[in-house]
Amino acid sequence: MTGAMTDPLLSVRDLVVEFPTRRGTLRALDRVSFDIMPGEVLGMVGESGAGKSITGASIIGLIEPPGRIAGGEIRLKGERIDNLRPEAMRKVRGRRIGMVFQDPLTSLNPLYTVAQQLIETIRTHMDVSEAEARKRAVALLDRVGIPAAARRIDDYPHHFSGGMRQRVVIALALCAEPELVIADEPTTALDVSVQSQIIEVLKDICAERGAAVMLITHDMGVIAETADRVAVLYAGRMAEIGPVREVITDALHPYTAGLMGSIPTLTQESDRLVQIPGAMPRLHAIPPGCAFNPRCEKAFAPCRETRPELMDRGNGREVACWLYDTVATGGMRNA
Amino acid sequence: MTPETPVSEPKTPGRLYRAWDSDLAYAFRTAPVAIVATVVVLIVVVCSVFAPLIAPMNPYNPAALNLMNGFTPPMEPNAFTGEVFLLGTDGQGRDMLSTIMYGTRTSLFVGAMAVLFAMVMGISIGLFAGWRGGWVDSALMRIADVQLAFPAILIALLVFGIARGFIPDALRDQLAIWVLIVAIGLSDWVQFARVVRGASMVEKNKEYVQAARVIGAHPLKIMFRHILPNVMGPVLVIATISLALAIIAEATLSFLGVGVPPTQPSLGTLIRVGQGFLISGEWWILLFPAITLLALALSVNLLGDWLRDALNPRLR
Amino acid sequence: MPEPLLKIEGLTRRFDVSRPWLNRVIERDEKQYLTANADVSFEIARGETFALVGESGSGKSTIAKMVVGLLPPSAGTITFDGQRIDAGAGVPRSLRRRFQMIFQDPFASLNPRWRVGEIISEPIRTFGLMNATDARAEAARLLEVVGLSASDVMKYPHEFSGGQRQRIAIARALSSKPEFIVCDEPTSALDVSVQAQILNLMRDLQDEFGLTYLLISHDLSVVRHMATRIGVLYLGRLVEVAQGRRLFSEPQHPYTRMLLDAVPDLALSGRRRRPVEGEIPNPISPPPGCAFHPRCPLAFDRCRQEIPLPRPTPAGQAACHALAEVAPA
Repeated sequence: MTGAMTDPLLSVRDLVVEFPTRRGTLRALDRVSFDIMPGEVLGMVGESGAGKSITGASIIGLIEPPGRIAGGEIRLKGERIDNLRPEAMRKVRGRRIGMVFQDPLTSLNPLYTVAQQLIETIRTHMDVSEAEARKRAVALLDRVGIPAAARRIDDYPHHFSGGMRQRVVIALALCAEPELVIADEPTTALDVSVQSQIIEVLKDICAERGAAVMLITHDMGVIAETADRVAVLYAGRMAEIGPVREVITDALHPYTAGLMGSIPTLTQESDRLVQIPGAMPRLHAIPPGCAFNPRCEKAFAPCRETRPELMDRGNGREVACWLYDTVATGGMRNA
Repeated sequence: MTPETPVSEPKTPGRLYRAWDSDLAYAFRTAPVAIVATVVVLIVVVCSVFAPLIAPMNPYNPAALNLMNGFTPPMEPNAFTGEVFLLGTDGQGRDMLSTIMYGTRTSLFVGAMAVLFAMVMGISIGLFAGWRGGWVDSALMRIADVQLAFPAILIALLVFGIARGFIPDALRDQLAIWVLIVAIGLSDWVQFARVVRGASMVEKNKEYVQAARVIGAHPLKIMFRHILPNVMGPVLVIATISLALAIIAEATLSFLGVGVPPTQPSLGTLIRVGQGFLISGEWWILLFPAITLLALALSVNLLGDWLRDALNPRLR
Repeated sequence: MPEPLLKIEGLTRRFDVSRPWLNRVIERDEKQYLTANADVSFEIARGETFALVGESGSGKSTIAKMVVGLLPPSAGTITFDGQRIDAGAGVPRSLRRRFQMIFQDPFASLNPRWRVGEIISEPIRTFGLMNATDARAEAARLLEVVGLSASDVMKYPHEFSGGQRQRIAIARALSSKPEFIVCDEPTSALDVSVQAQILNLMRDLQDEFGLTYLLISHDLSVVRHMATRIGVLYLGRLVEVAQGRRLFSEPQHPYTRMLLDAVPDLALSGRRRRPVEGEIPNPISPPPGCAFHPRCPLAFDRCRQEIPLPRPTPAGQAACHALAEVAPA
């Protein structure tokens, strides 16, 4: 109940993102709603095509055309940011929302030294002198774990290894002291041993500065170790949101339960993995009712007809599933 | 072993419907330039291929000619015979429309065969270079570079000249058209080889090629059955643009008088003959073959450009 | 122990990564080699699943390619069912039929211009195992074996999802009735829920056809789920081999321990991880002695000079000087 007292840092309500194609309009996100509290780490999971990266892109106003936000609203500290003009959005991006992408090479300009990029970003968003900006940049690089930061700051991105580059990107995302960092698969391109270092750095430094994190990843292990809450997307719709421990150990949505069971772990002893039959529908062929119903063992009549909305299940947990609707189940299941 | 349930996939529709519904067909339907170009090319091709059936006369049958009809301007009755010709006649009284139809026939034949020759040669060399890599590849591509340094028309002239020296006089006229095809083809294979080499170097590292290598499939089979179908997209684009260039090259050579024999005049020959009459006022003898050549080459070229753009972003 | 199905001895592969000849002459550069694998030896018994794990640069895929004959080894031998394949010699046709490979990316491993039926029956036709009619029927039957529909033979790969394509790739691998299948990261391009389907399918097929797998993966949890024995690679060398789960319960080599400690897990142990030191060195100039010593908490002088040899451990073998000091075998 701690979060309920404060206002959310980021509030997304009924977000709809559409991609017009010649075969009709694809809904990449269909009425997605969630909040991010100040300082918390929200994990965003889902299979490829579920819409997790598009959620991140729509928050920072970087949806690739012809895609567009077709409905809903995004508020940062109560102020709408989904309808800002490009220049205004640029100020929000970088200053108030930092970004870390999967491939560090796309976030760093290969033609400039790390120092130039960091100092420019700091001075664009904050009123400090060149020398002061440099001092801050070195301190930040040192903090993200770059050895001999004062010397290496004048190197070009290609002088750094993959893991070091991602540290530089984290420094770049945090240098203007944003309130929110959106990290889209920040460790997917890295080796396991480096991945844990990067996650650690990202988590610690954001906690230190009080920045909230939206961590987008397909790796449930990373979410389990990093996130406070987790949101599960399926076919562009929110299936379940809740505190990470509860969602992993006691999933409400049948899809989440199947997903958790299908992940081999380092401790389990069973010979067979739980498997969900079939695959996530393509966006042009989402079935009526609940998008998951053709794959769901527990599906019953309403699942095939009407889409379930997110229902509050208490303790900060929400789920979009007819199994938890008293009316639909005739009060039998809702004990 | 639960099968993945197909998600409301419609019944496999007919081949024809699928072709119509494909991205390429859609891109075509929404590109007016491509449609106009196709119509022009189709008209020219149909008129020339079926020339013996639809042309008003056979201009190379002396019995059909009437010298009195010579130099009739287009759409005007002849002063002596009163006959009207849509595009006029030349000095021998040949109907220009029929002459152009027969001429285009020769031009198209030479162009298409030359491109085919260049394509077969370029694809084979490109596949081989891309597959083998190493010094074989370097050697073949340096040869290609050297050839690219010379203008295509110069190479065609060179080949033509050398061939003349070897072919006995008696066969010269008979073989002239084939020599022309080889000459133009030889000047054009490099583009095919380069594109195929580049594309096959990408393809050969893909896993489906490795899968074929694991079972010990023959290299020739891998090259032609596996790699070739996957590099045909860009090849088709080049072939289309090359066809336009080959038609122009043929016209140029014929214009220079080293092309097709006078018994089988092409558009180039017609233009060469026609330019002599320009000063004396018989403009139609030059103008109509020239317009045909321009329309044909431009349309084929536009079609090639469109094809390149249409295939490019959609290469899945 | 009965005769192993596959025996690898001293397998080494170097790649020439020199600059072009002219640059070398002008800039007086030496030739440069990248050693992808050095002196790797292991055995795989019939019916087991042997897994090789390692991070990038560990050379795990290079081993897979050498085993199936896609890359000739620079040194060492591969013995398949008693038949030796020497370095430099090609793989005899009679052996090729008996092993197969499943690749990582199901979007690249099926020829996009071929129908599924042709793709699956290609090995049958290449080895001349059946006539065309039977091969077509066999392709349809195999599709059902892997959980697709027999009528899919007429479709093209782009009509299928990633998981379905990997099923097609598996059907193709089964078509020449192999005994041994090399699986190179078979699920790393797939989503987790589909990964579970494919891993379960691979297990079922192993039971049904008595297959032996060499599984290449970077994912320790997949390896733990699938393998009977596991080899851990670091910079081209095998640092530890152990019985499946015992590698996880009692890791011996410091690198194995570090790797296990680094994997994020669903277990929610809440433990604060000991941050792993450093990154993988450049394989062109690996550190002398034990390649792991710059990152190793146990490293001492000997590690910097001498490459450790494999020593027996309770569950297998490990190549580490520190191990010998702690518990002499």
